Amino acid sequence: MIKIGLILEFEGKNLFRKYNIPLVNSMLVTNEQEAIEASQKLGLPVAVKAQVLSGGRGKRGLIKIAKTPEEVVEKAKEILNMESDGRPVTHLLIEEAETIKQELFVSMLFDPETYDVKVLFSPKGGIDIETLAKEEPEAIETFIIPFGDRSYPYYFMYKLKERGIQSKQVVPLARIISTLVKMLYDEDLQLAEINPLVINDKGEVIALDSRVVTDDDALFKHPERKNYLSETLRHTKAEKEAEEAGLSFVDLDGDIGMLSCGAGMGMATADLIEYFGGEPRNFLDVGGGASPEKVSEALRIMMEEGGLKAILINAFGGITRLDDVAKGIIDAKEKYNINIPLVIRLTGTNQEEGVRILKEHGLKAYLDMEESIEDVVKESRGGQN
Amino acid sequence: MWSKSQEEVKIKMAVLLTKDTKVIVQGITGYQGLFHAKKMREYGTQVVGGTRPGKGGTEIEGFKVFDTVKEAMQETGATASVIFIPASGVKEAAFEAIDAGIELLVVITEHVPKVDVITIVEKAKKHKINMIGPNCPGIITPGQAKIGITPGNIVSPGKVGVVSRSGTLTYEVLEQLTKAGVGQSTCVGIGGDPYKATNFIEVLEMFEKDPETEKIVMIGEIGGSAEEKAAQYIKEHVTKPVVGFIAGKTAKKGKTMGHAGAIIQGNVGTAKGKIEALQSVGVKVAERLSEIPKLLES
Repeated sequence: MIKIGLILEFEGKNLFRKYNIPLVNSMLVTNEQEAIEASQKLGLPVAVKAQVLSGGRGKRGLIKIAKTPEEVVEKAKEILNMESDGRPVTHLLIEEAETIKQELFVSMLFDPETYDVKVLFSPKGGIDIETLAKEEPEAIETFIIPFGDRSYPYYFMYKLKERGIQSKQVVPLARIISTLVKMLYDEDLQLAEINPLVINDKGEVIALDSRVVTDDDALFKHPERKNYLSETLRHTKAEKEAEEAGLSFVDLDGDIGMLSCGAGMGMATADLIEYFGGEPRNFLDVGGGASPEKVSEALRIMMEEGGLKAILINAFGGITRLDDVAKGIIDAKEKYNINIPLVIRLTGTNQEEGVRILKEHGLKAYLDMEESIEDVVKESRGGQN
Repeated sequence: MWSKSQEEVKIKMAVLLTKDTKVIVQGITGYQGLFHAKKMREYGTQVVGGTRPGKGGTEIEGFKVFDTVKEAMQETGATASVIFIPASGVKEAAFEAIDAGIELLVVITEHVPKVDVITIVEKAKKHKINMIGPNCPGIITPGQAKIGITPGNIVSPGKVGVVSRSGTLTYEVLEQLTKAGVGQSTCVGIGGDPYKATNFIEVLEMFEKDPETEKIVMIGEIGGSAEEKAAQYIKEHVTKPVVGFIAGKTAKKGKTMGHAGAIIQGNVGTAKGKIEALQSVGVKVAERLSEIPKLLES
């Protein structure tokens, strides 16, 4: 399964453009030559902005202003030589530079408890909003928009006027906020944020940045997102391969490979490994109803990642059939040369068949979870207690 | 989540599901739908048929197949439905069931888009139906019936109500309880997604009112604030003893551990915070799952 979640600035802005949220002109480039050409088309000065997923780009030198053609080359080169999230910067957004009079902040998401849309607004944007929330909480206002109420701009006009926003900006601002609420529903977004949302020297309101988190479960409604650049930037090789195989994979620091069927079980297993003094190397969940192929692929990915002293497979079959799990284990053992201790625990649906298959191939299966975990911790220490 | 008169709740209780409940399976001709329809029937559930638009009037493995939920309900008297349909079809299937007047809806499917879940849940609320899920194992009333995917051979009838956010972890707990000779009244798996129809509080309320339930086991995990809210509810409304367990003590901040709901954000949602919240209202929290039976005795 493809995971995208947070998307890049230019991808978010493409979504904004579809909804007529005001933006400045910009172009996506991948080298200095393209950057120069873009700056000629857009007109100087321009902002040179790294397209990376982590925030705080300004502070990290990943956004720079260029006033001359020479500066465009220099800044583009500089940023393209930098790294973010453990990989080189490959894409830049060249954007018309704005003269900023005021920076605002707006962010919204669905409240998981109430399902209302929670809108956060502050006339003091631009900076790290968590710092603002800590130091000056009264500068952030929360508006709650009940479910299904897509909200009209007038609602926000009333609120914004109370916050001292000038008449001229109230109308576009209110429209932007109500459009973002609509986008949460229509585009299946988990979060939509603009920081900074600026008022320029002409008094216009413009979205200078975008921070958008998409709902991966809604990809079938928005298939174009599968081609987003953000998708290719996101993950380590193992994480990406795991995703493609429909597995959930999280890198941890220890030396015990851990495969579970179900996330809650995985978490409890990791907790118990630590309780008995071991350390999980990863969290690999094949989910419910895993096929033999999926189990085998999970073991392949785990072996390829390396750093393992032992592997624990903890399968409690509900929707998962344990004969399928057993077949996957045997397949992987034969194909991928698993030469470290393999501790297996099988309980639940089609358990007898699963245990029989393992036994035929000389593998033992535990029925008790704690016994299996104690054993794998022992194995990870070379059989010593 | 939505309030009902006490009378209504009492009637629906024994919690949610008994051997007399007539159940249909939406998506009964699918791989998972058919497999689990059979498992449910084997366990004793009255699975009276299922739906698969376009295959109405046929039969599969002894189950009657209908085109629509409405026809299925009219002909069989079913009051409950369980959805085994891929995520892209869940919204329509749930809407159909709710509009047809189903009283209990269980959605097993995982990866349902959040906006779809929210929309379904709001509709369920408006129609005042009981809905469990999505991404959940369902409900099992040991010795009577089950709706969903909980294995039938790991439970035994008794007096302990179990409510859990996890699937497989629930099975582990049920098996350990059964092995220790501790039977269960009902087990409700509410699902691992952050957005869901029924949360801890609603099930705790049912268990508190259910004469068949004497003690409660609550299985939570990291992420969100449902356990903290449940703790507050327990303090104010629950008189029966509660034993808790929280999974995810080893999780790293900001990493999603499988369940979409299981992500730690800022200071909310850590295992430590949840354990402390529960302990502060008198809930005994097990460090290991295997301690749960013992904590229930004390």
